[in-house]
Amino acid sequence: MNELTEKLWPAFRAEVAEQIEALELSLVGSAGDILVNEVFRYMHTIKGGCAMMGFSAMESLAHAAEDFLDKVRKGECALHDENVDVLLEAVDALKLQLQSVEKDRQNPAPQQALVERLRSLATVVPAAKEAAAAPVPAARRKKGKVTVEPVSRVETSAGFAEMARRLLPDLACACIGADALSSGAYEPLKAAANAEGLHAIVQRLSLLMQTHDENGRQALLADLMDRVRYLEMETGADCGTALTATTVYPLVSEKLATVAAELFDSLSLLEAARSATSRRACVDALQQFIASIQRVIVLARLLRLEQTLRLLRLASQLLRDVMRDMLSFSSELAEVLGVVAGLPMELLDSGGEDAPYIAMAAQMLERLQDIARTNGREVGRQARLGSLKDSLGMDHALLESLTPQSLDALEAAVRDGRTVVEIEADLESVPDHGDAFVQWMSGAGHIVHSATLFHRDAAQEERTVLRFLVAFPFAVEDIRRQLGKLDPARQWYRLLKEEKSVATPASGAGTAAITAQASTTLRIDSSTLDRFVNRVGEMVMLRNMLSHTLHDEDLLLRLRRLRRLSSERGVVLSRDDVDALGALLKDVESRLEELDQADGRIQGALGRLQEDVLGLRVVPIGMAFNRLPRVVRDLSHAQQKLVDLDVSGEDVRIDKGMVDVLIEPLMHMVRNSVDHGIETPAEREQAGKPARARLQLRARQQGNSLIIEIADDGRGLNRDRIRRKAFAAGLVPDADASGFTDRELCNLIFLPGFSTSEQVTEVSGRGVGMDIVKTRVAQVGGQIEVESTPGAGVCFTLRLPLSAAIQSVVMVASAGRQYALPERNVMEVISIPCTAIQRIQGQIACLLRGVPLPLYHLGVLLGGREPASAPDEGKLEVVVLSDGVYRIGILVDRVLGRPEVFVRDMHPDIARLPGVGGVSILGNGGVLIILDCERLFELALRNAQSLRGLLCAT
Amino acid sequence: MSASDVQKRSLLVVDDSFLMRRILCSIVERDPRLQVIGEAVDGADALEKVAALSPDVILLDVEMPTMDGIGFLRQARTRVAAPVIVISSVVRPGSSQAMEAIDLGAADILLKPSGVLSVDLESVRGEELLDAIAAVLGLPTLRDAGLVAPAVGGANA
Repeated sequence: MNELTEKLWPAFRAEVAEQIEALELSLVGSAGDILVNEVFRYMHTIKGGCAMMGFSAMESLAHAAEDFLDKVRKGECALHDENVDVLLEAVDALKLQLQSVEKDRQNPAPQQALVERLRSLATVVPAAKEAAAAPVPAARRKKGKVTVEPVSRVETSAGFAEMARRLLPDLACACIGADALSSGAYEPLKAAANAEGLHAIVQRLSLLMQTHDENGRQALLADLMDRVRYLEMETGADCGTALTATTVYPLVSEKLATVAAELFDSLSLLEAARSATSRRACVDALQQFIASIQRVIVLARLLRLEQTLRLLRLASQLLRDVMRDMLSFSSELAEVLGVVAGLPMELLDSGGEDAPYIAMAAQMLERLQDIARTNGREVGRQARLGSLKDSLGMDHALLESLTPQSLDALEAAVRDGRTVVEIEADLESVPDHGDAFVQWMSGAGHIVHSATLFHRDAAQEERTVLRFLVAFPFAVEDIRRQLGKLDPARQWYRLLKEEKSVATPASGAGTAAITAQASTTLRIDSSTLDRFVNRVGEMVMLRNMLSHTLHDEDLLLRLRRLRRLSSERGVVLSRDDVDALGALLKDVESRLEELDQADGRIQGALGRLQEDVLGLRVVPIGMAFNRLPRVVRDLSHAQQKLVDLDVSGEDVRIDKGMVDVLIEPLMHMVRNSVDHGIETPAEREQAGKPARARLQLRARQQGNSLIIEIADDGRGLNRDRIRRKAFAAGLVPDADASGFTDRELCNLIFLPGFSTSEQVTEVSGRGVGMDIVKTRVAQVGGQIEVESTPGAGVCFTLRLPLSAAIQSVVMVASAGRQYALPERNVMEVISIPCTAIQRIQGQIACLLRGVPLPLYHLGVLLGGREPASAPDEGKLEVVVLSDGVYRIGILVDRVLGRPEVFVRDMHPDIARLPGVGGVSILGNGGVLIILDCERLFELALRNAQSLRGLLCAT
Repeated sequence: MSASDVQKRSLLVVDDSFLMRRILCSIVERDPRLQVIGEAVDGADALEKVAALSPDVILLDVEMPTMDGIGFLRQARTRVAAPVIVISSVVRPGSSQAMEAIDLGAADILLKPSGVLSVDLESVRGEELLDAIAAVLGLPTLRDAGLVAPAVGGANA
């Protein structure tokens, strides 16, 4: 664990979580519609991030998936539901791994089995026919190479092309000659290039005009030629590079001869690099060699020697790769580079690239590419080594020195469940014995890798030992036994570290384990941030103004002077003193006015700041919807139902905190719809409906509310069953539920303990029902309703406030404390005379417009004592609350106002208190408790069964 | 702005991954002669930023949405004067993409840094990138210039 990881952690976590979510969303569509490039890129980014942070177990998983997706996008594999399932498993596993890393920042448990499955997917080659029929061509077209083509390039470049054809040869000659500035070619050419947006060419021309160093000019000219040549190839228009090359050839042929000979001579540098004893010496030699190549490259660009240019560019890049240890410096590479270094000399005889030269150069180019492909250090190497270390439980230098081939072999051995051990052999001491040992190893097992090590023995004598990595098809005890036979005294061979092939942990990720984790980071758009900086700047300025007024001591000094004067002269004030007093009064007044203005401005600025802060928390509701397609896919597949999920309005913006709360209820309702509402295709067809069911998820803004509808076209709610259940649960007075409207009947499903499914299913009937959904929705100040047409489906409607963070409340005082009641539950505030209170069956109540209203002392509801005696006279303040069904009156000491408050996170100890829904901080720093009206109703109605008659419906 | 700031060579970092941009920036910050003046999320964005900011060097990712690195290189041939260093894990030595990038005049091709967790690997990778940038700009390496590169992840890195 290091500091850098911690520093980068938030970025890593946010990015990987975001990519995983996007990836999952892309994958849950039907296989044919998946945008392969998009999916590939998500996986690629995840892999890159994990590699960067060194979480090799995640990297190897993402890497295996990426490799498969790469084949898909290349058209070598096709996507279908089965392999999408495996990809989704990988997504789940990555989520779990991310959670594990979040806890301890350690490399999580490897998912070897899953990695293997992904790898085997990538090796499946579809039948040729299938490959041709697969929607691959479309996917290929979408491959990330969408380039923004300039508007009809050929046409727009015509002006420049014509100008270049005329001027380029002269300009080139002038540049190579003594005085670059004598050519009048610059300006018209520059203007033409500028007119066509060829900024790079413009810039090169400008630099050419300012550069007086001959070599510098040649390099710039070469670069210019190169770019113009590219323009020619792209547009097909002749820009005069061929003519220019021919024209300048005589001027630089001598130089070409020199640099070509230099390059050939510097071949010794390659030898020096290969035999260098230090890395520094090797790098230095290679850099010098590359510099020689670069000098030829300049001329190759100038003279339009295209094959030479390609070849030498590749050669320099490969040498840089060697310097970076990305490519091994094999004798084959040295040999080909030897030929390459000699090639430019051939140009001198033929005066340019002739056919045999081009053929030779092309052949060398191919060989270099081949060498790079086979000797190139694979990119996923660290991840593969990491996963090998994980599964072998060994972490030592020998693994690092594996060649690509031995790495493959070792992975195969691990895959086949062989026992991999590391054996150190002191063959120097027993040269005769060595043969038997090697024979045993290669006979009984497979030598994956070997390396020579130098050791100093006890006598400080240097000796060579060999280390072998060997895979055996039997257990480690047998290896030890057989090794013991070869070396009974155990002095020559040492079994260093052994490990049975570790059983790879089951990939039992399962979608159920994915918790709806509230993400803690929030990405902010930079313009929003800028606005914040400005707002805060405004506040600072205002504060400075206040500070200035505060620290202005002038008034104080003048007052002191007056006091002194008055004490010196008794109380008699002179005319001047009175004038001074008057002026002072005026100044104090104007100062107060200033303060008042500042106060007003601060208030305005704070308001804007607060608005912006709230704006920060607003995100598209799509964030809550994103998880649902996966739920629908998994469940409908499991139940063999065909469901099309149709999402709309995902752009409607909502408070971030609300999203976190809504995810679970939404998932529950969607599960319910698929599980209970939607029929099997056969049932649907029987009912005359299309086999594919439609599940709609719609969000829209209506005034200050967000409306979410979840509608399916399934079988609808079963009224008879609801009646039976409701009666059995004592929720309705008679078996027919007479007196309940159809709508009321349907809405009974939100009552606690109500679950209509007769068989508790895996999916949605786990004892928790719609009452939980209702509770969660109510928590954020929302309401839920259900409508259902038999045979045609169910529609749940959620109505939510757009912002959960700011609440309008009615502030009251009770027993010396201040409380707030959410305004949305407050019907009205009334004042009643004490004499209006009656006692009905032990419950105090009053009549509100002729209807009885049960009354409760707020202090009593919250667990305090009943006031010793009710006052006989005066008036009582009553806040009338409604939960949508019933009304109660809350007796308070005083109603203090109706402010808007910002709801804060609660300390868990406060959250546990009965009836508390939230807290806010008051202007004086005190804590204001916001009461939860649902809970107040529960507390009030605890003993209200007998009071049914008393409770009045709203 | 101090005198040394004036001398700083400017870089544009082009990568669709936010994390990768952070890491590349934190590596570049180690060289006091360099300064990241902008970040772009894809090739098209990069073309706009290049026009607005005129960086001295461009660090370019290959796998990106909208316009990928190769697409950017194509446009850059005639429009962007600054040298481009390709940093990608998909452009492996000998691959056709590597050849394409070379033909399109990429000044250098590097692997993405990996394993920042293990300090040794990171420092090697970071140094490679810094050396490559220095070479492309014609500057001596940090080591040769006698400037000590502070370790990434240091207090204010």
